[in-house]
Amino acid sequence: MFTTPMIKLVAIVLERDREKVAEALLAEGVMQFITISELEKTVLESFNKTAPQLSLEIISETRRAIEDLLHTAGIYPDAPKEINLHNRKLVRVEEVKKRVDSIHREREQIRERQRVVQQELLRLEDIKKQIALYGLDFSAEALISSHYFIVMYIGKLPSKNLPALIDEMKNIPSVNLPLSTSEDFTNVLSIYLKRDSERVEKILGSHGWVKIEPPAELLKLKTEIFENLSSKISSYAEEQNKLKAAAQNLVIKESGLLKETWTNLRVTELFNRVQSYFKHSTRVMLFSGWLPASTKEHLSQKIHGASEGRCYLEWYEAKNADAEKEKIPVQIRNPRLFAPFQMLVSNFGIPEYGSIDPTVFIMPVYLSMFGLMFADAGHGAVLLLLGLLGMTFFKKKRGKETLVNLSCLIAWCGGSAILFGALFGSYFGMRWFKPIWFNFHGIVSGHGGGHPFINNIFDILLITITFGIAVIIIGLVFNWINLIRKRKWIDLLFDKKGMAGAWIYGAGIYLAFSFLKFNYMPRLAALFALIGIPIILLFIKEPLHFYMHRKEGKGGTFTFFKLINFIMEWIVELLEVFSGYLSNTLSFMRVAGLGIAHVSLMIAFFSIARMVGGKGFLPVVILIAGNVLVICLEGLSAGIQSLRLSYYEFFTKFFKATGKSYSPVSLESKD
Amino acid sequence: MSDLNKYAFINAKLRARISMLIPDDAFQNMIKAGSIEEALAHLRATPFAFIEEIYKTSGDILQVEFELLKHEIAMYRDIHKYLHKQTGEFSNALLMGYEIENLKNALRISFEKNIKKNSDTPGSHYLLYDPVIHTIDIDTIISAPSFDQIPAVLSGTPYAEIVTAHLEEIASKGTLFYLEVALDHFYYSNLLEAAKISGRQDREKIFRLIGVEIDLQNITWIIRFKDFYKLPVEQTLSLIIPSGFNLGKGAVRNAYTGQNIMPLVRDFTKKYHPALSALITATEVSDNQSKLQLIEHILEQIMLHETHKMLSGYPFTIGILLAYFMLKKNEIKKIKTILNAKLYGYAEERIRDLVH
Repeated sequence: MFTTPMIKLVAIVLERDREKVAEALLAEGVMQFITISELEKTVLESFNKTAPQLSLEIISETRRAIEDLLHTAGIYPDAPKEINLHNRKLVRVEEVKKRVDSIHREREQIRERQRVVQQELLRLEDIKKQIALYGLDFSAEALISSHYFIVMYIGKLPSKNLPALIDEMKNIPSVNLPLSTSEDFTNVLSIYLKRDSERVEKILGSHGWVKIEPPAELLKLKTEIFENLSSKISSYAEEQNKLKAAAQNLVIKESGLLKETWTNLRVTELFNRVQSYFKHSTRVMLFSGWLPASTKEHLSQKIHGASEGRCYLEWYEAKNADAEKEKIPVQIRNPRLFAPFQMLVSNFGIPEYGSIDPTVFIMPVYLSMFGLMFADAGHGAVLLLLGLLGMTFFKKKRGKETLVNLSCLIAWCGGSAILFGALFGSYFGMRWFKPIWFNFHGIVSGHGGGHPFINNIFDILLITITFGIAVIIIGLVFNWINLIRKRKWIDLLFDKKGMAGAWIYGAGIYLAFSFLKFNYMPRLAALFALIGIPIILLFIKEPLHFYMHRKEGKGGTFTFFKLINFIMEWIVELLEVFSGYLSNTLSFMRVAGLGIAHVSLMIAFFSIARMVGGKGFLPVVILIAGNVLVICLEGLSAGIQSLRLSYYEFFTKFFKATGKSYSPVSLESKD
Repeated sequence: MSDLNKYAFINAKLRARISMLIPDDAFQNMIKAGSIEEALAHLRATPFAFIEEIYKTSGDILQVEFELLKHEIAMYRDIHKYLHKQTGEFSNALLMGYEIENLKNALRISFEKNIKKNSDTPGSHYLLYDPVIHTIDIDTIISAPSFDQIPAVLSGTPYAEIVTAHLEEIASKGTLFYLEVALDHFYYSNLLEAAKISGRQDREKIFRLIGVEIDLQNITWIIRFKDFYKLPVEQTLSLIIPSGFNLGKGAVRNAYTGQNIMPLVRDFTKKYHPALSALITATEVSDNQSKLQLIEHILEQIMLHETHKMLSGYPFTIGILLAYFMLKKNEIKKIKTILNAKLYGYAEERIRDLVH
């Protein structure tokens, strides 16, 4: 129910046991270290910070470089284990950097080759595009056209020279198509880029190629030319894929060694980080930090074991009253079942140390509001299914914990909607079974609720307002519990969220109820007791605070302006109490409003379906589309409004998001 | 149609998208990465994850930049679907900037081939052949046997007249410079024309942002015309974009005839971003290349400053559209800068300076 109780440790161990103690602390991974500043300055001066062999920054940088390299191959190393800590090896950072640089260089060479291949590929595609655009008009003049980037020549060369020609031309973007053979000569169509003219003409000339008039069969060649080009393009594309795989394999090949090095570096980094919090003199070492009180005995044993009893440990219980001053870290631990609701709480903020952790309470509050707004068992079943599918899908993906929690939340909301749907007898907008509680549908459509006490919309509004009052009162009670734990008695009694404020709120509820229900207003004396006394109590708070501060020697002198200040603050507080509590309570009417809207939309879609005949394909389509729209629209509205009411109407009564999250140094640490 | 009707939906949509822009720590991780591949791996959880695969397959950074350009244009088209008619026309006027840049690139290739007689044209692979706004036969432009044939290819577009007017100059002076300046003039005048049909509040926002861009473009040109091309002041005055809002002809003449243009830059910056003008005072800049780089940096800072002002102002105006386009452009520019810097082996500190 509350944040995890924490305890502070101040420890002194011998300098010679430093490494073993640091190992034990890292292996346990429960300590959030703090900078030691409680000792007298003269004592602290004789202690130095521990300087590890290798700078933390260099180790972190090298570790990140290997991590990034592994990520390029889709490899994500796991967090180190305790065995890695005990078996850690000295990492030669310079050698590691050289190896990483060497991999980068090899890969850059592959990328350079890829760039060259890419350019050739693009040039061939240029040729293909040009041929496709301008066609193949094979008159002798048209072959050599200044329109194109390409050149097309027909020539003949000795047949025995053809293989050598094709081999020499294979690295130049070109098409060389043998057309026909006569005696010892072959006619060849040669297509290449203008920019390569000089080079190509040299090669052609060296193989005895001579230009001739185009033969008649050329007209049928377009397909063959395209096939030739396409096969060249395919072979370049294949080479690109091979190069891509080669670049990937560079890292995969070394991944075993890289992962081992990464693990060593990570362990060393964390080990050095733990030691960076130590202060040491010649013989002893000092460190301090916060940890959960439940781990005290275990850690104590470990430190004693690591130092062979040569240690002195002092424990300080965390006091709730000192939460802010001491910056006590906050740990919230709840069963896995509550993970989505813990996400909702964390989104709002981290609660102050020692205060109530509202996770367990937000679950029924949020789900009840959602269920009241989205009360349909069929729609709820759809949400439940979507939520479960989402959880299955996102669980497999890295870094998608938030989406897993969101899917889980949707599944819970679906469950709540199923429950409330059954209570109100709504199944995809239809009445398949009798409602367990009352007929919500019937009330909205004007046929009554079938319940002795709930028969109209005002009764539904009354339910939601009653629910809201209960939520607000729970919030106030939580605030009182927090104030009692912090021993803030003045605020507990005289604050607007303390008992004075609650007194006014309770009186307001009583007066509103008695006036609206019974048309009765109490007499003046009773009114004074109900409202007057708490209003006076509200005034007392600031003067009392001032008096207490003066007693402690902190407050200033009392002046006339101070009195005016007190009065002004009191008036503002009164306005806040009266308007704030009223608006907070009436805010819950939206729960009824959205529930009514949900039913009304379904009634509307059923009416439309009836208007188009009531039977056949079209009414079914309309009903399906209507259900989908309602699930999406109303689901989103209900989820958001439930969150708004939880945060604004409930949390603001007691939640102070001033906590700092507990982040111990452990092998699982993320940063 | 009221502002609320025009902008309510697009405002909600774009604000949600703005919250999904790449955060600064992702850029920091990219800068710290040891290579281009590692930098690209940090984009896996972003909408730019696709460029990693492109680089792994081709090894070609130009191909990556080309895909980013197509992504940027697709973004404009995607947003256009949700805009009211008038706002859509303004969005198209902004998109025309990409079409003009593409046309300039195609004209440069044709110029190299026909005037400089250089047929090696690798840039043709990175041209947009599909229409951006107008249907332009880019293939024919780059393959045209002479420059004179290009206006015919551009018929039906507003560029035909501009190219025709500069044909003689291109042939006689052997430079595309004046044609490119004319195309830029057309872009800004078209943009301001499209802005005129918007409401008063929208016009004010557009003129403020575009005005900054025009004034700074003019300052950049003044430095180029004076120091690189040695043009006389009257010719410069005829070449700068006429709709500059804060730089009158008098100020331009003074800057031109004076020894140093930096006081003009400082006074201009003081109006929009006083804190930044202090930086100019403190920075001694002597060579022209540094001046141009400083001005480019100033432009980016002022535009970002104006963008953030728009985001915190009244939401139902064209400001949200301008802010989103500016932020996305800036985001893509940062990615390109980091990748190119990694390719050329720049140190981390230098990359940070370039990006920020």
